[in-house]
Amino acid sequence: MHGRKRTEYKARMSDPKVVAGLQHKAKQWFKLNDELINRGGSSLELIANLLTVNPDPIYLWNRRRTLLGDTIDDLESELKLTQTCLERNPKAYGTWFHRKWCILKAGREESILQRELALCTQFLNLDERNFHCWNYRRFVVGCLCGSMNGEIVFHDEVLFGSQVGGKSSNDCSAFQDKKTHDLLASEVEFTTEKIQQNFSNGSAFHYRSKLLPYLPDIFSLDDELELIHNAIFTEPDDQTAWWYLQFLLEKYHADFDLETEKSLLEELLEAEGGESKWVLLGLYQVLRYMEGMEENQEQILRTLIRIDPDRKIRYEQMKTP
Amino acid sequence: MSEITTKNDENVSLLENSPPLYHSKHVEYVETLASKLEGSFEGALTNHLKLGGVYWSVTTMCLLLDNDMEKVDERMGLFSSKQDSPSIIDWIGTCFDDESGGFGGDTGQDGHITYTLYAILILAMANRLDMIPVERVVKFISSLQQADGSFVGDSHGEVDTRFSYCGLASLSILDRLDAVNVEDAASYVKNCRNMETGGFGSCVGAESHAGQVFCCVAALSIAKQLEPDDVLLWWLSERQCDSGGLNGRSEKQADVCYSWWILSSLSILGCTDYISKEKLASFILKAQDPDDGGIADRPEDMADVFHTFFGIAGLSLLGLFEKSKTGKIVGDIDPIYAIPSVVVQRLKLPGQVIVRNGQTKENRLQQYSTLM
Repeated sequence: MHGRKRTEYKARMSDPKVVAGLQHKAKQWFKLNDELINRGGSSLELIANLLTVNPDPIYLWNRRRTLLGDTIDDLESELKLTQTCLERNPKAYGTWFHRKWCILKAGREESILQRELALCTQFLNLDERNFHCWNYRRFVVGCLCGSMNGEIVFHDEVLFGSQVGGKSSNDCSAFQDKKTHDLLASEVEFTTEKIQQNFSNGSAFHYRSKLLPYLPDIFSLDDELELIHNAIFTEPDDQTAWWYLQFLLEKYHADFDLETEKSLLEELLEAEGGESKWVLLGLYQVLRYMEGMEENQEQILRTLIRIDPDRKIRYEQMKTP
Repeated sequence: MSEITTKNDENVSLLENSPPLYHSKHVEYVETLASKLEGSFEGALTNHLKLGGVYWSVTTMCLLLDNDMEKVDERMGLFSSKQDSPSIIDWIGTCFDDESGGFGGDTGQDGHITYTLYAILILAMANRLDMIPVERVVKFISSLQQADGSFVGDSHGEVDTRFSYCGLASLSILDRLDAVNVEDAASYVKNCRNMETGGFGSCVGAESHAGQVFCCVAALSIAKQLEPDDVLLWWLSERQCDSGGLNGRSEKQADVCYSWWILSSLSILGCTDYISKEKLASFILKAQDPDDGGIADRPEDMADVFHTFFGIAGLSLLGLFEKSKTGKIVGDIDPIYAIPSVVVQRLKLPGQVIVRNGQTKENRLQQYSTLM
């Protein structure tokens, strides 16, 4: 449904060989599906055959889980099936959910979970913005921390929510342990690696923004600003780091050396000829937390209205106090 | 913007330097879709979401034919049987899954909160909500709310804020919001807010994504728990790319379906003017298939009914048709419930919207309560 070029697709579809091939596949599918739905056919093999063709139907995974029952005798088989499905379509909700369900039932031991973490790294190397995979990674981390359902709760605050319902959440007092702390710290390291590979990774920055507030011993505002500055000085038009700056300002503005930040951004702005939209927006955000900067802010808004007219109404709204 | 000077069956010129709206080609595209998919491999691959496909088709047709339900029936067999196939509303009946109490994507499939909403939406448009076994459906949906206020999709337990929206919208249409804890549902959604964007993810801690943002904003609207959010408005406005299209997250490609997810959110929050409407409209119009009708995810790509619906819905929200001399080319769609505004008005559905100081509430939002 996404990303198929029209002329190519129509050309393919008017090729009788292609059409015949697809008709054959369709017949196969409908026959197998009919066996499952209408003729009471229920075997893990039948369902696996259907899923490897099409992992999207939720009812297929449901039927499989019903057959598997309460205990999973062969976890490896489920992991292998979901991996095959993910390799064909890494964005199918049903596949990722089935994997989570299986892990909760039969895979909550250290060695298996570490392998799952490695799987996430592998899939994120293929597509670093795959939110299904990032969600799965957080789920695995939750399990590694000792949670019964993949969530992490810290002092009554849910850091990462449960992705599998029907289980009671438990306050993860294991979070207090050094092990959990180190695990979350290594997740921060993982986001650092991803950002260094490609700073245009909003998913990594997002994850970071969720982890660091709970790791005050690791968090260093200077380090975070360095990360941002590297990004924005390399490519000021990429909005990724600017949203992270917005987050840091909102949460930690009291700890900022706002004057320094202001100067830095003004320097960058000048280097960009005075008209870089995101630098202007970033500078505006910094000024918001400083006293007596109204004139500077007005000036910025005037420039933004001129260089980014599509969003001028928003800028005009920002003018009125 | 040029004024509309031609009527329904012809190509409608909306903007200079953009293709016209291929109105009658889209009608035909939607009309012939079912028969094209029937028995095909593509039909096989999408069979599990057939009820979704029917919802996108029926809503698009209602918008294109400005809610002339007789004409919709003629084209689609909504009420009447066509060529030995049951009517759409009768077929929907077969999608009811007696075991769960919800509706599945096609006959014989497991009930799920998503398809339950699609069934309710179509029957609402058809004015046949009497066909819903209300008590069973209400029981199904309320069984899916978790202790923390979140919703799962079915008894297998996938948590996602999409399901919070499906649950609240379904119950709202059935006038049974009393069956769940709406406050808890709203506070769970709010816990899914991300500080760096003001946006929402699929569960607590998940990344902001346009689709989830629509679901969360609309859910909060139904729960009447909206809050002003400048960061979210900023993030939404920055989804517009140079192409004029909207993307779903920073630095991702523009896609016609975000014309809905983002624009409806902006509409509920009273700020559709935070982007260039003309540029978005142009992007959508360029994504049309000028030969066979339908709209794709982006220009030059193959059309599908999903993007056709979101493209037409996006154009409706953009309000390009309000200046028509000869009557509406495309009917109004409601940004909260994603069905024609006339249906929402007929059913007197509840909701909340934000209106900026000095702005007037859009016509299509008149019945909703306002958070100033």
